[in-house]
Amino acid sequence: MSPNKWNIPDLGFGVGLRSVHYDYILEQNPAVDWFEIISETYLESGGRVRYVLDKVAERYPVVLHGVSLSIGSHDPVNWEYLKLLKKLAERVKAPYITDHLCWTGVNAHNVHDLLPIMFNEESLKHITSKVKQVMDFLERPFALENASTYVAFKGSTMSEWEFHARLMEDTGCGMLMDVNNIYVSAYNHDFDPKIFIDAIPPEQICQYHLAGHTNKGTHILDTHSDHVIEAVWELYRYAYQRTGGRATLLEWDEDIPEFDVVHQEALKAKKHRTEPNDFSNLLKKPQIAPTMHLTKVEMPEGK
Amino acid sequence: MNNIPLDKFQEWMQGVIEHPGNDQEAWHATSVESSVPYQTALDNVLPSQTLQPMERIAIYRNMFYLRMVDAMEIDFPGVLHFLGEETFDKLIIEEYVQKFPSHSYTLNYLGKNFPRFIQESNIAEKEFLFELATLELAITTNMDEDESPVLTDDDVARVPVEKWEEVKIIPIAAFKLFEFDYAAGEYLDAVLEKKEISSSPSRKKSYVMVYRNNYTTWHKNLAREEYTLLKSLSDGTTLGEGIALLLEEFSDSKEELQDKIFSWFNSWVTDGIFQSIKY
Repeated sequence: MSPNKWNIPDLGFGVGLRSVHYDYILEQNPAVDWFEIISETYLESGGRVRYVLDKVAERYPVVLHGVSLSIGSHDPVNWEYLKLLKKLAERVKAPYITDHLCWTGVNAHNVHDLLPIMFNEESLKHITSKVKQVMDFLERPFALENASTYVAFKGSTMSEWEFHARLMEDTGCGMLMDVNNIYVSAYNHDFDPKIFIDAIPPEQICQYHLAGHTNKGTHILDTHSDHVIEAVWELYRYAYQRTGGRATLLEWDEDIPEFDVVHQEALKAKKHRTEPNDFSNLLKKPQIAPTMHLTKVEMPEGK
Repeated sequence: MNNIPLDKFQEWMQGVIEHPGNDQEAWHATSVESSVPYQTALDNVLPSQTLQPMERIAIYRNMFYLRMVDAMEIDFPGVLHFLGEETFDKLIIEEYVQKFPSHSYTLNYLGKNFPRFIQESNIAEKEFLFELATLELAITTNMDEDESPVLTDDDVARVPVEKWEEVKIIPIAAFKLFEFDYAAGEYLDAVLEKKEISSSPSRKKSYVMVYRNNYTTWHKNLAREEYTLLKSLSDGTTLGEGIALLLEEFSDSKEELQDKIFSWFNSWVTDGIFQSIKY
């Protein structure tokens, strides 16, 4: 057990606020510990979207989770975006703000995807500078989530976990540890997910994410479209044993079921926090091998 | 060569993702190779045990395609219906997002240039499609207009009878009026109600108001008389001047017109399209 660096309280078990559940939430006031919102949905929205957010923020803690900060982009910090983000955080009294360690476009484009970082010194230096500017401006705890990735680069000179650890050390930013994303990337890049978790200083982790994904056979897509699989729960237990009390959030963004199904999936995390972990599913997972992340693997014949 | 500069690497990857052609065409495009030459790029992308470099990047290309198309299909159901899915999707990926890539933090504004794009294109029936896209864009963007107070029955009752001719009635921020040369509103209604649409739209003047009521955006087709009065009022003329204009332009008697105005006004207050009365 390790307290987080910013003394952010364990908010409990939250779910992502999604429009298909607006009516249910306003009518039923479900006993959810907290909500996470996709920041961009609410930055300048009016009408019903704004109304719902204000109602939710009156009753529940709300954390901002962004997808367009593009911290890894070669472009400079987008101050107009940050001003809107800060204003939104103030409006909902967000205890902290999160986004992703990724880039979403360059030369002012936005391809609206969490694009992979080339993990090397140049990227680290650039992102460190941007994270410091962002943290100075936002004036509240800020954390970056590890993104799911589908490609790795020869130009990477360090592992993803080493990059995260060094970035946090250099900037003081936190990490939103997405356990499902670690699993997805481990599958896609053939590394041991526990190595990733072990490399992150527990006191830097301020929140966990959980989600379902889609296994396409050749790779896993981070679709947030299903229940959390057992191997990801095991990873969650493994990570949680190192940190203790951290807010945990269940993401469900495609084929979204009724609110209660999403909420019940989030509440499963409560049981997993206290269960012993034998990691049997992790060890059984066929694609996880001790191959180094940066090693160019041999392709099967015919490829 | 592994030390591809960050800016060149990102320009290359974005270029490949946004390119409308197939994988080979994208990797070999002049604009893409000007950032990172093909062979250098290929060497930089590691294969996995199951996927070759080009296949791994294609995952991002496919997701880009789906995101752009989904966003536009949601915002422009009428144009989608008219063109058909295949033509619409091709238009979006091969032309629209090439000309107007997203520069916003949200996909909600991806379609903001779509009416203009149609107007400047060579698409068949582009005059009709421009109006249809204009209406659909207005419906989408109306969601984010500022909230206004809404005129109540009590507000109306407080206006002294002798002041009615000189009142100015202020619409809410989330209110827009359109005069079209085609029946864009009727076409959109038919699409949304899944009615059969047998023929191409012919030229026919039509009038539509887009407004938000109780946090939901609506659109309503209007008769020309109703539109004329609403247009006058939203342009800031007094009710008396608006009525005078109606009497001048239409053949209704004053009594007939009074009945109509009474009925319209009830409907407008119920729809919540006004925020205040000034006198």
